[in-house]
Amino acid sequence: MNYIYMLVAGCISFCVGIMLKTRVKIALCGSFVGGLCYFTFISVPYEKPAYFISALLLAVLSEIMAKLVKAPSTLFLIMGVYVLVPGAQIYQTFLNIINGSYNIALNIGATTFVNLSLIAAAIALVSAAFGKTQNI
Amino acid sequence: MKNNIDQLLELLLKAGQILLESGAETYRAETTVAHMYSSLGNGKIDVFALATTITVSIYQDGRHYSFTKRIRKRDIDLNKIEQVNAVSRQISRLELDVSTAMDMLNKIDSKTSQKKPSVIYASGVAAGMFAVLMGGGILDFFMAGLCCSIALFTSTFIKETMVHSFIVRFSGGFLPAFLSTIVHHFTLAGNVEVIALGAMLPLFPGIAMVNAIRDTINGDLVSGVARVAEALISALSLALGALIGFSVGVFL
Repeated sequence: MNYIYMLVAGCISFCVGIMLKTRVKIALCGSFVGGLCYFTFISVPYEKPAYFISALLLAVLSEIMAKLVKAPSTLFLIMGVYVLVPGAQIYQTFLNIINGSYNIALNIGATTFVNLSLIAAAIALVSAAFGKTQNI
Repeated sequence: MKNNIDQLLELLLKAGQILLESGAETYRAETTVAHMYSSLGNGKIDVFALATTITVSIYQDGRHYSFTKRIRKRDIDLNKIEQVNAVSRQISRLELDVSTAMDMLNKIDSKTSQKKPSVIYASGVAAGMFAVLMGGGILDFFMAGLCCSIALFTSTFIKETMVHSFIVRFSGGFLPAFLSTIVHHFTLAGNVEVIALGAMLPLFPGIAMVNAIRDTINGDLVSGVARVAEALISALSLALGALIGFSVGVFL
């Protein structure tokens, strides 16, 4: 079942790449990165480590891909992170605030903030590690 | 010599502006501009980029030169980032002079990189897949794709006629919610929540939020906080639109 989700996530990354106006070749590389990253995400049993580890893998893969294809790593990072990032939950937080369910909103919002920070921290860590040799 | 410096500043600012308008990170815009200058000029440079402006100041031949540009629109266009990056690489290999590079940047800035239909189809498929990922079935896939394509088509139309991102986001929340309620009402199929969530996929500020936190971690505090505010406001407008959409749909 995980493999099917991996394929679906890869397709999403590809379509997101086209949607954000990349070339097809870049979008294919991005879909590979995105699929692998989502597979890691659903394979790790705990939620918080899953976010961190998959974001770490995503950042490393996109740096490697950037070296291979000679394109900035941001492209792969954005395409890959689209499936991972809890953007829907940010929206749900605000929807619950508007509806007056403050407890649910606080619950979702706090969890989302922590998860987003985990993703951002992992990416920042890797880009710091690649710092000097980064493609600019 | 003076003329030369003016052209050079113009070029650096243009590169930074395209990068920031296409959704690159703040540090990328800053380092790209600094790198380009280090192979074209022989003075000192300082670059200060925010989500809304970029300032370049150069100290060369005993004089200070400075230039600021306002960034008015922010979108994600990965192809432009890649092309500016390629120009910057060519400059650092000393293959380009200032005026040719400027021509290339102008060409990059003026054209849109993908054809509109392919963007809309791709967003439809992505939205459908996202609905499947959230636990939807085959019908949810098609409905989410349809709703998303219609919403994106309308919101690009709105974006061309008026440059107000709040209204674009608001309609981006309103249309998927409204359409998914209508679809659910008429076909009695699928899950409204899943369809609406899938159809809003292109507008969620997840990437903006991650970039904002990354900027803050990197030390670009002002830019990071500005981006957080932008992401929160866009999520709020999306939710407001969705709420109105759901209520109007239920009334019908």
